[in-house]
This record gives sequence, structure tokens and C-alpha cells, in this order.
Amino acid sequence: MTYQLICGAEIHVELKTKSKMFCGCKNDPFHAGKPNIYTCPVCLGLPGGLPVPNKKAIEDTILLGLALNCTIPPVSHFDRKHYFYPDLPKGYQISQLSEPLCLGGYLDTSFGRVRLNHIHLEEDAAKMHHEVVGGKKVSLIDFNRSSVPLVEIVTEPDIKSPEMAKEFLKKLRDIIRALGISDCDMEKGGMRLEANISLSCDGSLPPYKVEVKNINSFRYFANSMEYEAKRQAKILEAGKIPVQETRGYRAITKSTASQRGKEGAADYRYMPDGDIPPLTISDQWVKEIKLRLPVLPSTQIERLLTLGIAENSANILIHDSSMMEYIDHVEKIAPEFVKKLANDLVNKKFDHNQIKPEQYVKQLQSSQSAKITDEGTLLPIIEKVLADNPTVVADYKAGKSNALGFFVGAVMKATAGKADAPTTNHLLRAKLEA
Amino acid sequence: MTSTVISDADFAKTVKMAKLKLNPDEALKIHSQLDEALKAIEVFNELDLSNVEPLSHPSGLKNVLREDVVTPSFTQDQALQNAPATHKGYVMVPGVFEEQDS
Amino acid sequence: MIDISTLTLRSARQALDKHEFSSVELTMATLESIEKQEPNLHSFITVLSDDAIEAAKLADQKLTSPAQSHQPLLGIPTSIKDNFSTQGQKTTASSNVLDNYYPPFDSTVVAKLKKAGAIIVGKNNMDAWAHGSSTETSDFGPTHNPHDLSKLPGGSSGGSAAAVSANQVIAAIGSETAGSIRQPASWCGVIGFKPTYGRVSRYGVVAMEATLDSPGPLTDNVPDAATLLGIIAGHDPLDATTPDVVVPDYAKNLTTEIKGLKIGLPKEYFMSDTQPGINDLVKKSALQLEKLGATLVEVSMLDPKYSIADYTIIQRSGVSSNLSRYDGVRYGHDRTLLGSEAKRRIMLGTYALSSGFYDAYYLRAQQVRMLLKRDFDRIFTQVDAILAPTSPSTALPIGSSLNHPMFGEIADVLIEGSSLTGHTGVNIPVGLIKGLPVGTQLIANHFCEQTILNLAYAYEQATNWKENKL
Repeated sequence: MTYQLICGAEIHVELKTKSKMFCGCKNDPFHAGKPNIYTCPVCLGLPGGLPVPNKKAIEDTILLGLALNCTIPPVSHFDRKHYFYPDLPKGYQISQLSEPLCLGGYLDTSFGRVRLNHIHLEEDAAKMHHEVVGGKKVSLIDFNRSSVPLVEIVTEPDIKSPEMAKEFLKKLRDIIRALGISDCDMEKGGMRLEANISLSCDGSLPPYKVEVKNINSFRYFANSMEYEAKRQAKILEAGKIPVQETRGYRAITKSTASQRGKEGAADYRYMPDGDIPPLTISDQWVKEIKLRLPVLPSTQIERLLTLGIAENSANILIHDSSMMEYIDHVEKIAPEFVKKLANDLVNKKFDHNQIKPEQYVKQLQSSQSAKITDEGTLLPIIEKVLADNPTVVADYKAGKSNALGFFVGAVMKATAGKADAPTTNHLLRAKLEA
Repeated sequence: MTSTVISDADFAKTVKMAKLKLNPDEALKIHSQLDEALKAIEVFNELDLSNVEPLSHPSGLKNVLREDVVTPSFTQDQALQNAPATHKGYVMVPGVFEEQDS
Repeated sequence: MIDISTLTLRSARQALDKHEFSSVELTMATLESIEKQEPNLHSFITVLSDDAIEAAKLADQKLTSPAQSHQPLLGIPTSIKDNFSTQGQKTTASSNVLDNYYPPFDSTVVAKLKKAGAIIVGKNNMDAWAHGSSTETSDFGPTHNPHDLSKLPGGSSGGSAAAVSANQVIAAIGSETAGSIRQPASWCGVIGFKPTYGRVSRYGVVAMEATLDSPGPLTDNVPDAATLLGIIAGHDPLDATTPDVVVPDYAKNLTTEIKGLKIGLPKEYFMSDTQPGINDLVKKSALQLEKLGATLVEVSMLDPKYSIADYTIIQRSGVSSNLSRYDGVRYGHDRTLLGSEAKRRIMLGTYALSSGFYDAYYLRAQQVRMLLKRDFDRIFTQVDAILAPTSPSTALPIGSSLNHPMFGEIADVLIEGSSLTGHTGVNIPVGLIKGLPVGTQLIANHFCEQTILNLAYAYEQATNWKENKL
């Protein structure tokens, strides 16, 4: 029995706004240096703290939705998602459930399309780590990260293979970085991944899904799919259905393991957040945000391909804006050299920061000793030279053989010295003696 | 037990979700008081709510947003001054090891 | 010795400016008045004697400069309900959970009062977490009604109302979610003003329900209420539910000229099971307003019983959410110290929001709320103000609220509707029954505070209701 992988992803991305999602505290948890120096009544969850949403975070989210072909609904609002945990100061997370900022959407890969379910905006929790203090196991909490804006991208279960997953995630990250809204630094937790994996034998949606967390890289994501495919297949072969549960990825063994203490789906008791008036997203506002859309990586790659550049070169070039500009420039002045240029840049054959595009082109032109031997190119020029100089033709026919030299000279002039002398000679004679 | 509005199972679930600890007497008392309150809600049935939009934000305001500008924060001392336990600038709690949601 | 009972904010301002007494003298007199009556009343959780005297000394220095440059409340002590954060000063919301909590910041209302020069002389007792209409669910003991110490002052701003009623302070600040200013004002015989939702910032106030909470003043005369309202009202960038609506000079604009104003009396609010005598006194106050030029109109509104159910669900859902932050991690104690009233409300709210019950309870409650809004919108196309009794009874005996899970909701039956819709309302004392105060409430449309201030002022100036004052 062959099974098909049915996989969806949930990706959390920290936005790099200057201030936090619901207060003016600095949004810089990674470089703070000390814990708990960027807090206030709002992000610390003190009695009486009230949230006021960050306009840029909302616009960044809509921008991402536009780049991913989402629909931007005309209304949106924030909901409270309730659960207790020491890193969640209010006992609820302000998130979105029923009216997220972006609906639908998709990202194409070479393996096919990955549709999105939606994109929503929420706040991050504080950062907690564990130590032993005074002989006791404790958890230490730093609220610098509390209420940093977090975008959540939820896909449909369209990811069919580990390779597709890697390509999708890379493309997604490239787009997010190109938009300038996040650095997607996975090591620092700026981008976090979760997978929902199940197997189907006939392509229909299975009656279960396994959630995998603790995935810290695209490779681990792919690995977890591979592992789950094997693990779940075994269970299905035995005639059972894999338990719907949450598992954690274990990098060292490239496996997943069941997480303790999960008793069934949590009831988050979502309710609209009464402190935050709802959002109306006008067409005008969306238009203004759309102006911020840069040329996206996929568009750039397409363009390079039409210039005759190979795809793996293109994938490298789009990440270097100075190289892209160089290509633009050379394309304008000497398009015939673009392909060679691409190769030279990718293989670092020269320092494009030291040598100007015009210089590069000139060097190429002079180093090229190629002479024109093509009859189709030379004949029209020869015919014109002969037609323009009837007296010299008469001279030649009268026996003045050095008139031939005159004609060769004229053809050379007309081809900026590139005409191949022997070929030109031969063709001239043939014409004159005809 | 006589039929209640809230089942015993739902009551127990609610206690857990609310992170409360009720002793048996308290639980009994609150359970019956909740039942009484919920019975009073039945008066909603007298109203025609078809096609009525829920009112979740009475202010009528929309799009109240903040520019992305950094404003002063508490000092570390201020942030921690009310915490029952701290360690090297962190808020400290007894070890928590369960993987959290989301 | 300065007699606090003779002073208003206005007369205190004048006396201070004329150097008839100093701020330190006024503050000491206030502290003495508080101390003298506290054993009987218990209207304070914390009396801030040292801080207040320090502030008074500073005020006295400023008072040496010309009177025109003075902040409106410079050197005048006021008290504030203990759910308003005061920087560095204990703020408990009358709960054991917060009995060691010292906020590192001021609530916006406190910041505005301080900016106006006011001296915060103490934090008033309240129902714990503002859960109640009695002030006897306070974890630190009930407040007693100054008119009859065996009676409740009402709640949840019972401490503030009692302090003003007993002349411990000239004026105080309270908060209302549904009735918590107007009802204790009614039971204590003082002016209790609840502004339009969003008129006054909630930043720094221990939250009960985000879409209902409204801070407001309690005073013993209308001009003082107008003055305080003008000081604390206004858009706050830290509270997204406060619109950018101009704050009029309520005090300056006060007028007794109410000719032409239409006042609606909803027949459903004059209930048959209201305590005998109350409807009559309230109707009498309406007739007084008619005599002064207003037109009375009988109107019909949605039965207040729907408000009880609606408020119960919405408020308790909000409570279950807003009390989730009290986990003892960053401040205060853990949840085991929550009182039984808080537990009960959290339980109901949690249940109403839970999966499988959200639609039946919370969602339907929000729909009923829309019906209430439409009802009030309709009425306000016909009238300028609504008049009704504030409470169906006078002050009830201490102990009445215990074991009565819907006590508050029933006590506030006539107030919940306008609270759910965010309208502004005021309680004015209109008489006594067996020595206990009776109040009339006036409700106006959103941001029409001036209308009911004027009506209240006209009534106050034309009657001798001050004889009913203590």
C-alpha cells in the first residue's frame, strides 16, 4: 500500500517593527542585553494595562497577504485566546480567530501550488528558560519578548513531499525578507515552524492529523515529514489509525516523540477583545500598502530566465541587489553579454564592485577577436560599397587591381574593422568578376 | 442529583479551565448558584434575535491605531518590584516543563 | 477647625486662593474627619496621610503665586476607589490577591487629578474586584452607610459614596460597570455621575469588563461633579476606546435653564415591586423639573428584566477573562486567595464562553445588547433625557447580599440597560424614606453629559434637598 503525505504548515514570523504590537515598548528582544528592560503595564499584564494596536504591524501583515495572493477582507478584529502559562502575562493572548487580516492565498513551487488558509496577526509570549537555582528546578521569564508582533501563516494540507516543503519554506522566507518585514532568523526564534502531517491512501483528507512542534529549520521540517511518513504507515498497515496528538521533533535522532500532558484539544474560549475597536480595511488603504510591494523573488527569477540565464544562477543572483543592478545596467548597453555576465558574477570571476559595467562591456568587446566571416552579413555591405563607388569599379575592370584594396578598406570601415579580410577579398572578387 | 443546567462534567471542566480550586462545599454551592443564574437567562428565549447583529464594541469606534514609535519602558527594577520571586533580572517560578500551546 | 461638610470644590478653591486656610490645614482637617468616622464607616482601605501632607506642603508653596495661575484642584484633597492604580501606593481592588501590590504607574485618571493639583488622600473600599452592589464583598470588611450604620452603602463604589456622604472628603472618584456609581450614590444620598463609556480613560483601572467600565465622580453637589468630570474626561492615547471628542467646560456651561428639554419616563422602570414610596418620590422630582420648564413624556422601553440576564452574561464573561492575569507570577498572590464572589463570577463567565456554550450564552447576550442599543437610540430621537428611579429599594441591611448570587443584578435592574449601551447617567438625591436616601437617575444620549448635568443642577438649585444631607 502506498501512502500519500498530506502535510500543512503553521509558520510564525516575528515582525521587526520598532515597537511592540500593543504598546510602545521597544521591539528588540534578541539584543536587549538584560532581561525585563522593555516592559510596561500593557506587555507585563499589570492591572489596568490596555492594548493599542501597532499600525505598521497591521500594514506589514496585509503587505504579506498581498505578496501571497491573499484576499484582504473589508473588516477584521482581534480576539482573546485564553490559556494559563507563566509566559502569558494576561492569561490570554490577543490574536485573531473569526476575522483574520488575510484570507486564502497561495505560493507556487516547482512541485505544485501550496494554498494558504489564512494569515493572522497576534502577540508573542514572553521568553522562558529553565535552570536550577538554589538546588531547585525553576523557570525564568523575560518579558522583553512579551507582546512582540507575530504573524501566523496557516497553509492548507497541500505539501506533498519533504522536498516540496523545503522549497516552499525557502520561497516563503525569501518573500518575507524581500518585503523587509522580518529577518526570519530561525536560530533566534524569529521564524518558527509547525507541521500537521497525515497519510492518505487515496488522496482524500484522512480522519486524523499529527501536529509536530519544535522544528527549528527547514531541514528538520523535511525530516519530520519523512519520519512521520514511516511511523504512520506502519500504524496504518496494521489496520489502525494514528493517534491525533502533538509530537516534538528530536533533531539528534531525526524522529518525533509524543509530548507529555496533552489531554485533548484545549478550549481557548475565544472572545472579541473589547479593548480594541474593530478594523475596517478600505480599498484606499490596501492600495497605499500595495505601493510598498517590491519586485518579488519569483518575478525577478522569471525575468532572469527570459534573459537566458540558467535557473540555478538566477536563484543565487536575486539575493544580491548589487549584482541585480549590474545585470540591469549591462542589459541596457550590451544585452548580448548578459549571459556571460551572469556566469562571471556567480563564479566570482571579477569584482563587480570595482569594475563599472561600461568597463566590463568594453573589456569583453576588445577581448573578443571574432571576425565576421558570414557571407550573409558581408554580401549586402559589399554590394553597397560597389554600388556607391562605380568609378572605382570601372577602374578595377580596366585592370587597376589595387582598386580591390580600396574596396576591402571600405568594407572594413563599414564593419568597424571586424570583417574577415580573406573572406571579404574572396567575396569582392567573386562579385567584381561576375 | 436533581437535573442541573450545568452537568457535573462540564462544571469540573470549567473549574479546571478557570484555574480555580474549590473545596467540595464551595463547589456544590457555586454549582447551584450558577444553575440559578443560568435559568434566569432563559428570558432570552422571549426575544426575537433572528438577524440581529451581535454588539461587541459599543463605542462604535474603528481603526484606533498607534504609530510605530518607541516610548519609554519601565526600568528592570520597576518591572520586577512586585514579583514574588526573581533571579538575576528574571521573574522566577517553580519549574514548568509541559510544552505550552501555540 | 475647618468643617469639611460645609465645603465644596469651588468654595475650597476660593478659600485656598484667598489664604483663608492652607492646603496643609485643609488636608489635616480631611484626615481628621476620615479618622474620626472610619471606625464606624470603614470607607477606606488605605489612608495616605504622609503622602497627602507632603503633597499639601508642596501645594502651599505653589499657592503663594497669583490665584489666576492655579490648577483647578490645587491643594484640595480627594479620595479615589481602590481599583485605580496610584504609583507607589497600594492598590488592592479590595481583594486579598492584591494586598501587597504597589503599582509602578498612575492610572490616567489619577495622573489627570494630580496634574490638576489634587491631593489623593486615600483609597476607598469597594466590592472586591468591583463585583457587587453592596461593598460587603470586600475582602477587608464592608463599608457602612453613613445614614444608618446597620445598612449597606451600596456598591461597588460604596467607600467613595460613603466618604462623600459622611463628609470625610469633599469629593471622590468611583467607577461604574453597571450601577457602581449611581446605585451607591442613591443609597448614600449623593451625586453619582457615570459618564458615557469612553468619555473617561480606563487605563490603570483594574478591569472588570472592557466594554462597560466607566470612571466617574461622586460629590455632594452638581457643580463639583461637573468640575471633576471636566478634569478627568478626554481622549487617552493609552485607551483605544476613548474617542477624540472635545471635552466641554461642563462647570462653566452649567445652567438652570432647562426649558424645552423633553424628559421620558419609561413606564417599565416604575415597577410594581419597587419599594413603596420610591416611585412617588421619583415622580415628584420629575414634576419639579416640569415646573422648571422641562416637558415630561411617558415612554415605553424594553423590560429591564432582559438587561439583568444580558448584563449577567456579558459582565461575567469579561470578568473571567480580565481576572486571568492574576496568577501570582508578576505581582500579587495566586488565585487561591480569590474570594467566593470572584470565583462564582469567573465560573459563570468561563462557562458562558466555553466551546459548545458560547453561542447559546455569550453570542446571544451580544445580540440582546444590540436590541437594547436600538431601544435607547429610538427613545433618544423622542426625548433628551430619561428619568427613572435609580434603585428599586433604599439601602438594605448589612448581610443582605451574602448568599444571594444575583443580588447586584437585581439591585441594578434599572441601571444595567443604560450601562450596556454605554449611555451617561447621574443619580440625584430626591428625598428620604425612613431616614434612608432615595435617588432619581437621569440618563442622556452619548456625550450629552451637559444635558443631565443641567437638569440635575436645575433641580438642585430649586429644591432644599441639601436638608437631606448629613
